[in-house]
Amino acid sequence: MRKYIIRKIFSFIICILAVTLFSFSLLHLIPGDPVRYILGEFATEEQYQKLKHQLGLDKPIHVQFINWLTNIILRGDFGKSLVKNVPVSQLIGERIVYTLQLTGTAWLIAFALGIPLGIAAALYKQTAVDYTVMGLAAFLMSMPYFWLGLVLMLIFGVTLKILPISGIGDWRNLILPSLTLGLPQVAVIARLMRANMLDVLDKDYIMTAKAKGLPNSLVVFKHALRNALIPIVTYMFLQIPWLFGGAVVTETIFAWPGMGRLLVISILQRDYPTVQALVFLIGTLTVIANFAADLVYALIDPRVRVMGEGA
Amino acid sequence: MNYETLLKIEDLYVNFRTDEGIAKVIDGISLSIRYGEVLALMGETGCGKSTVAKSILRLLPKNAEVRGKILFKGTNLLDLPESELRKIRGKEIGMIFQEPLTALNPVFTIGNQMSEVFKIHKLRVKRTIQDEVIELLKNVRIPDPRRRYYSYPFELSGGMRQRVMIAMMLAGRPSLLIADEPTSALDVTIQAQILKLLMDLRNEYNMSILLITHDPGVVAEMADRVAIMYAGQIAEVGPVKDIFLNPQHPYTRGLLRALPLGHKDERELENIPGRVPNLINPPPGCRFHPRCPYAMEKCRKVKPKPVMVSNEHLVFCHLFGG
Amino acid sequence: MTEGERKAVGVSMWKLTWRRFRKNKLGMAGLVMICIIVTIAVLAPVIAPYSPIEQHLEDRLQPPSSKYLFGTDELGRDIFSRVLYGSRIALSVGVLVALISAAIGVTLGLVSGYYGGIVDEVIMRIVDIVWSFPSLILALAIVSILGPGLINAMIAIALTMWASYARIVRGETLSVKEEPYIEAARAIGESDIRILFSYILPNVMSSILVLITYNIPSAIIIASSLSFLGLGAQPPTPDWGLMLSTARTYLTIAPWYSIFPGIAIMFTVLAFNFIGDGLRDAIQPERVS
Repeated sequence: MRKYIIRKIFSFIICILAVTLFSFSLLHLIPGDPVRYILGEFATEEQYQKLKHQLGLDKPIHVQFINWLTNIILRGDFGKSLVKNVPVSQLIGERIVYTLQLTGTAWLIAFALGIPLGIAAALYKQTAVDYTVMGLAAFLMSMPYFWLGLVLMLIFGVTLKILPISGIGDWRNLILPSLTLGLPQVAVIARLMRANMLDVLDKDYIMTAKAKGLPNSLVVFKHALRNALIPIVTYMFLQIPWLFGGAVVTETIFAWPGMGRLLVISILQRDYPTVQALVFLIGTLTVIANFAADLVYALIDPRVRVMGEGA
Repeated sequence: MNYETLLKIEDLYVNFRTDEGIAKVIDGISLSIRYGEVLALMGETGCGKSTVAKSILRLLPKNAEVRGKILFKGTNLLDLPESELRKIRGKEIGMIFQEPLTALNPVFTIGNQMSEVFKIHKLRVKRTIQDEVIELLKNVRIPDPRRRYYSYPFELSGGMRQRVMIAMMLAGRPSLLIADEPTSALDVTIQAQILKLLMDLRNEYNMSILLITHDPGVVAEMADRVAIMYAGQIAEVGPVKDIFLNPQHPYTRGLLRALPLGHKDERELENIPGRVPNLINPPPGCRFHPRCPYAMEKCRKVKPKPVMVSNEHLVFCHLFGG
Repeated sequence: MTEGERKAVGVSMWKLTWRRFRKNKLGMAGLVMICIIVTIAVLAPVIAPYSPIEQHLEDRLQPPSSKYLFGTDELGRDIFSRVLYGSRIALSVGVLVALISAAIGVTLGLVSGYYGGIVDEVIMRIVDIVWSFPSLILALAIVSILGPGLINAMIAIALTMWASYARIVRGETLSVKEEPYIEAARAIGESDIRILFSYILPNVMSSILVLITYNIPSAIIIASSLSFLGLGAQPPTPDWGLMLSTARTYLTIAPWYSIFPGIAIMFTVLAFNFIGDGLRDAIQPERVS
């Protein structure tokens, strides 16, 4: 177990470093002159020098990197937005709550619906229940996020007119966006759950459990489920970065004022400090989520806890 | 040994619905086990012996169709509603499987899994369930049972896991223990230990054992009577000594010929030319006829009936007038 | 079948796979669907009643009619023709991106698995990060460097997809590289490159093929998403994602605008997913004895 954790911590550190390097280099990898790219052709020499200094590009690159990193770690300072002229951290801070609301709700929907549906599909394998659930899942997984959002908007917002389709407001505004973000994940989890359950139900220890005279409920919900859920629990954490990815598009469709929408706007406006900050944050979140997944896996699978390796 | 019949299988037919057709795995088998006796069911891999074992407790997969009667202490197990059958499983009849590594749930402790039997069947305990479990573990000779109560299956060796399985199934003091190839996955030295343990327990608990195996050595060491199976049919059944010293059925003779007892190498079976038949389109009549050097016209058409060759020794072969 | 047997049997394994694939109903349906799409893409100039960029300003935002099968958009262009032409973009994007990322990923996977050591560690760490990073965000980051545009979007997506190939190919390389015929090849002095590409690669082909079939629809979805956000295809390209982006603005007055391009995307994605499922099952049939 200890070796396992040490290995994972090592991985963690390397990955964080990689994310940091990558986010930092976004500005510097631009082919040609980044300052020229941002300002366009008609900039004056004065504007050019001013921006160059503001971005710190007049210093040697390793100094830039160290400055950038220390600012983030010590002061949470990502620099100033080129467009709005306020600290980037302020911009992000205003929006992060909304993104968390959205992704959090979608995450809950994904599990609350996905797990029971997957179990049902497995237990009623090859019956109407199974085909319906799996059919819907295939359908949902083939739809691009943004189209699902548009369709939901059309049905509930335009035709039935019962739900709002843009902006924030009360809880009703949260419904369509979180469904858009969450339903495709319901599909993924239902499929995964079904596959795991079927796999586990085939195992010898399930036959032993039946041979002991255990009632079906115990066989399925204690013996089978406890094993089948293990990969699902790790997926819960691995899913989080993906939800942020989907949030980018969802927030754009529904005019939801979150971080995702900020990222798109910043890229369009060439506001690099903001882009770097957002990529850094999401990258770090991804690494943390993966690390958490590994930790949790170690906790719930006794094989790893005791022996240091999974099944 | 009480000569009354404990378990009687009558005209058991088992079919499996598969993608390629219906596999007729068990073709009208009848067997009986008496109180306190050890009956071995021996045959090559794929002859259906495991299927027979599983059909007793109705542990076959959903695509299985079962016909016939399995009478346990007079009650037909195949007719019982599931709720009644569950009272018998793990209590009146116990079953242990071949692969102890996969037969125990990896995420629960030994203690947890064994306690279940006590809780479900509401077995009487002297003090606590934990004490009873530890007592059982002692009985199957597991060292340091108090610590093992909290262990996970993967922390134990193959032999110890099999002992745990046995202990778990003995908790209810069953009259019949079905052992499906209990030692095939174990080391030769461990095998002997487990077999001895089973014999000792048989005497101590006064129970019958249905022993499924492909190994004549195991049969010779443990069984009172043996039934030889081939491709879903019984070829021959009788006291172990009679069958081994005086095999009558051509298949049995091929199986046991030149086989020193205790040797479990299956390569001997290649002495019999031909291959195990496809069960979706099995040979009609006696299923051994394509490989039998003495096959007659009748063998291709009619399934042989049992013929008593000597005291309790039955052969299913037309050579003897079947 | 073991690896050795597979190499011995060679070509006939593909015939076997094809026979098994034929039995898979969904897989065959997918194949039919792809044929339809490819036909549409190839014959678009012939089938489409209008040019995709031809504007009919007097007929803006018209609902579907006999004159305009799917209706018109905000510049009076025929949506039906645009959807038909869009298939060309979707298919080229999907296939090109999948192939390029496969080329990158497979090479890195082979190298990583075969040489092991530091090279392997480094490549695998990078693979871990890229693989777990949400593709869309990574693609966005790369687009921020390169600038918006369809070609840049394709490069960006290819750079996010190579990791899945690398991982699988590395795994299979690890298991194959100990096989006797590889040892033999080394013994007779074959160069490393030849060993990698002529000996090891063929064994890994089936997994790669399945992955490509799944990655094409993924690429199409991410590309459409980028176009939707304004960072991929630029107007007046008849890209399905771009169409949906504009459709959003006119949702209340022109609902049909949002429906048809979306159906096109879904149809294409389903088709490839069906084939992928069928192919995967045909290559590794699940047998219940």
